[in-house]
Amino acid sequence: MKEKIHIAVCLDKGYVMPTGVMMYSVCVNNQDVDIDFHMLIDDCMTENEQQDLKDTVTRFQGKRCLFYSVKSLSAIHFPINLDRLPQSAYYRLFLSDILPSTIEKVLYLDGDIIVRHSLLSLWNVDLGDNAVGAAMDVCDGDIKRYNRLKYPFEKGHFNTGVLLINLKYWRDNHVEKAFMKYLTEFPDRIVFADQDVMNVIFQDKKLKLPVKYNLQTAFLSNDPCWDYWRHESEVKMGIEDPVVVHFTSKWKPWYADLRFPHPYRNTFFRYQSQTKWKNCSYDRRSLYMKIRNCIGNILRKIGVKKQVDNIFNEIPPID
Amino acid sequence: MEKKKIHIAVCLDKGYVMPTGVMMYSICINNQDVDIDFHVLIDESVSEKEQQDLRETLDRFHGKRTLFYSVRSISALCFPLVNFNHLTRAAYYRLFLSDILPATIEKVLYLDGDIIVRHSLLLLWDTDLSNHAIGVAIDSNEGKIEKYYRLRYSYKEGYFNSGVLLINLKYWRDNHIIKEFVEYLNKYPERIIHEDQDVMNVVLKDKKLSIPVKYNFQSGFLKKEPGWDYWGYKTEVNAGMKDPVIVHFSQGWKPWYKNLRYPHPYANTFLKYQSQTKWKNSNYDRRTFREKIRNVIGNILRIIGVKKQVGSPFIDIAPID
Repeated sequence: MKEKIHIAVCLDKGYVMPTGVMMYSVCVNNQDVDIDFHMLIDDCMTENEQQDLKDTVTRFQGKRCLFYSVKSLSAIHFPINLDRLPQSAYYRLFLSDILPSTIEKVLYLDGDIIVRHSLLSLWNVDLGDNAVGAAMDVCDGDIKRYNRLKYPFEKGHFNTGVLLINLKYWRDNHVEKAFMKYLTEFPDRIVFADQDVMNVIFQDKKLKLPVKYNLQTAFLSNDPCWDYWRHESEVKMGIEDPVVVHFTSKWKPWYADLRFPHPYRNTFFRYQSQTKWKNCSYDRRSLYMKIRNCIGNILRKIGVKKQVDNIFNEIPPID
Repeated sequence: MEKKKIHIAVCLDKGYVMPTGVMMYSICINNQDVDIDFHVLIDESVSEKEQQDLRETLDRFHGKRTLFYSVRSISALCFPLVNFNHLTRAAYYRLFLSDILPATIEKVLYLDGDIIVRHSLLLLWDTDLSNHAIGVAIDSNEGKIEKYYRLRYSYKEGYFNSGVLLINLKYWRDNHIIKEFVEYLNKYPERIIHEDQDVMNVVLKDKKLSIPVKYNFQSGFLKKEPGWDYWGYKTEVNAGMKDPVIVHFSQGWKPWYKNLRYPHPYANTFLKYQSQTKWKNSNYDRRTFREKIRNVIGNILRIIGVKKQVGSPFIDIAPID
């Protein structure tokens, strides 16, 4: 029997295209395993969009798409103000309630990533008694986070874009209750939504995954805010041949309006070109911003305004 | 029984005679039951008169001596290798203490000139350094990750403040530590931002013994925005805040600057000791004429509400003596 991987994805309106490209990249690089995609959606997703996602993965053998409507979970009250991030960012906190209890482990993936290789080695990581497996956040060295969330620096800070989740642990230990309690009691401490609360609750219950499973944008920048010399070889390996490229912060490959392209942008485009979303890109700028940028570019060209340095290190291109 | 003797080293240049004198006075008055030799490193910018003032400060106390070492006379020995910025030169003198002080002295307590000592130093002095090169407290910005990237070692090794140093001179001499300092300064001058403190942290990172923060309680520990691992060092920092043995007026928050918008929370501690010395009426306003005018205009704009009020960077705390 083929192995089966369970993948969870949380989705809302603006993210159908990137999520579809992500799922395609998972399928094309994992043809020898069965995969169930567990899709958490809310009411802003159309039938048509759901069908597009389904069509994308069912081209491949042994791949399924299962939709879960989060609206039916409206009993959940999100206690904090959500203007920073879409509500869907919080859905992952409730995966152990939403997914059937027969599923004991799930790999959660953000919508702004590309998978380049087999996920089996990641899927087969033994979580032991840990609640979650995750790679360090690119700002693991930012002392302000620890001081804001009130736990010591040495415990570290992980990124929640790629999570290998021990659902059995979550259920046995009622972690959802702990999440909700924290969000209700300390909404003022929360800046990065689900990531803040998970890092607090799991500070002693996490397994560290190598950076190659969640290579975030700033790992490619020239201004490190992680403990560079401690993690040098781990990060170098991640940059050389990442399994998961995570386009964090504003450096989305599908934004047409960025001054410096993400070094792995073409990796995304290559997969995108093989999907039904091949011609889709966004320019988020307002007319005012477009005019400003245009003037800025002219001033830079004639030498009145200073050129801005690329924030990314130069690296050899990957596929 | 013979009284115990503590050796204290101080590095001095022109602008720092008053604060250093007040510091030495605070030590003497709180350490009357021990003998103390002050080893004062000076350069040519310190006048005879100023040296006399420092000496006289200690004359009232029993068993206290001041020994002056002219750094100029030993400059041939070690300095030509390093390209010193003139203004920060005195900060580097401490790196050469094991060469400058007599070989009979095996241990010395180095103190910056911008500190006040509030209690006995005996407990600190008696710290057993054994095989450590140095005893030091964490820097109030030890949590800022950029410096570890710049200095090329991991945060795990930590970063200390060089304003209070319990130095194992024998270890330095036996292990040629000065040579390591000079080599590093020559090889990587571009990595150095915090003068002596950066190079000491690199060279001594695996040779140091940690001493509690109450022996070097820096201004940063009173800031609203902590630059250190607050929850990792909570107990230690709180203990220091309540009853510091050594208050270090680090960064720009000197109690003797009268032009600060927000005074250091422990400024009165300094002023109390200062009022008992011959420097009781001295204070500095470092601002240039241009800055003074700017400040006056800024204040007017704030009063009429055009410019935003700036809040105090310090937390509210109970005053200490």
